[in-house]
Amino acid sequence: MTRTSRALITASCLVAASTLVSASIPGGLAEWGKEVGTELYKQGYNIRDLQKDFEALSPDDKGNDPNFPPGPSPLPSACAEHPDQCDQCGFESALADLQATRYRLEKLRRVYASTKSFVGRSLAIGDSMAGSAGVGGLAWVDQRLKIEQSFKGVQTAYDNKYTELMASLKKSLESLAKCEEQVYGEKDWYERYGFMYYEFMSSRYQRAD
Amino acid sequence: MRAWRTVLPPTLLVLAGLLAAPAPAAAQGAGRPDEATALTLERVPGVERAKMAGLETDTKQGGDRYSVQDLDIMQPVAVRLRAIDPSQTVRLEVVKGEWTNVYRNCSTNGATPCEVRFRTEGNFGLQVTSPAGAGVRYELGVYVGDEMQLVPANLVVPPKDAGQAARGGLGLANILLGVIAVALVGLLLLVGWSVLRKRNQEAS
Repeated sequence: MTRTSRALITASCLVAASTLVSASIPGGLAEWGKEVGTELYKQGYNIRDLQKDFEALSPDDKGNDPNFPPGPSPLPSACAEHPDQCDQCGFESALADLQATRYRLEKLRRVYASTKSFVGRSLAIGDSMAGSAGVGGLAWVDQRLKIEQSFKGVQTAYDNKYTELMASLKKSLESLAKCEEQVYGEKDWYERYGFMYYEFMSSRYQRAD
Repeated sequence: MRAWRTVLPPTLLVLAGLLAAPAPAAAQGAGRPDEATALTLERVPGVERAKMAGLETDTKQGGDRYSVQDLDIMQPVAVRLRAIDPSQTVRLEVVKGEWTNVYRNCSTNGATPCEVRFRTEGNFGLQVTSPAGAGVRYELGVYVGDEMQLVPANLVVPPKDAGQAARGGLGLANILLGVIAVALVGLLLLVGWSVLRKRNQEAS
């Protein structure tokens, strides 16, 4: 949620004016915070530890946990076996871009899923309040329409980001293919491996609703 | 990406606050106030890679409600509750979506604080109550770590690690199966040819 939203919520009297800040954090809590941080950032603490120690709160959250699909199969690469020989063609850089794009696509998926769920719950509450109060029903209909239209804006934002990230994914795969060709003479790496992975990712992250 | 939510209209943002509050009837039934206090997370000196919020206050009749917003699922969250007077008990509930959706809870035990840890995407709410009702002093702390980056497993691997099938070749098992299949077909053809030959000889 943004500062704007907090301000609006405050204005609607749903949030008490006495919003709390860290200046009031008692010393004992700061010490506790340091202890939690020490556990979290100790050597060797990894994502699996995090997922075990800090389990997802709700069933929806479990669905939001990052899940990086391996694709139809791993992408075999001679450059991956001898990355030093592929330095000149930017193999490591293309690989890093590919990984970063995968991460961003997964984040895009979960932010969208969470926003969609949030909007759905908001509409349900608005509907129930408008129905039970018996007043302001027409005003709610108007507001509901605005929310739905705004959510379409969110969907457009998703689609734009998806297009941008898929283009980035393709570029990374083509860069890897170029390396395989330049260094090892593998001329159809993209067609044999990259294309299938691209199609797989395209289908996985395309918005279904 | 999180900025998407800024395109949502004010009504929806107000409703976001309602999400952290129960329906009016439920609120009246529980005797609780309709408002939740949004906790502002801030950096605390000495606590690295995290933000915190904390307070010390007294319970109100019906309990106290707080909300924490704009979280990523990869941010570790820890919440700690302590009764200032060890002879008193305070109870913590962590909710999401609606105040009735309690996903974690704990109670203090004497001087021992209670703590819950979890991860969530978006918002969550906290409810603090005491069996003694109003006027029980407590300390509440919320720790939210920075987003932990999960590096995806590497997809691009040396051919020897990609598996024979991925390289378009034939695995040893597949080769053996192929040889067995060819041998069986050959055997059947041979038997069939022998039978036909024998019949032809008998006929002539």
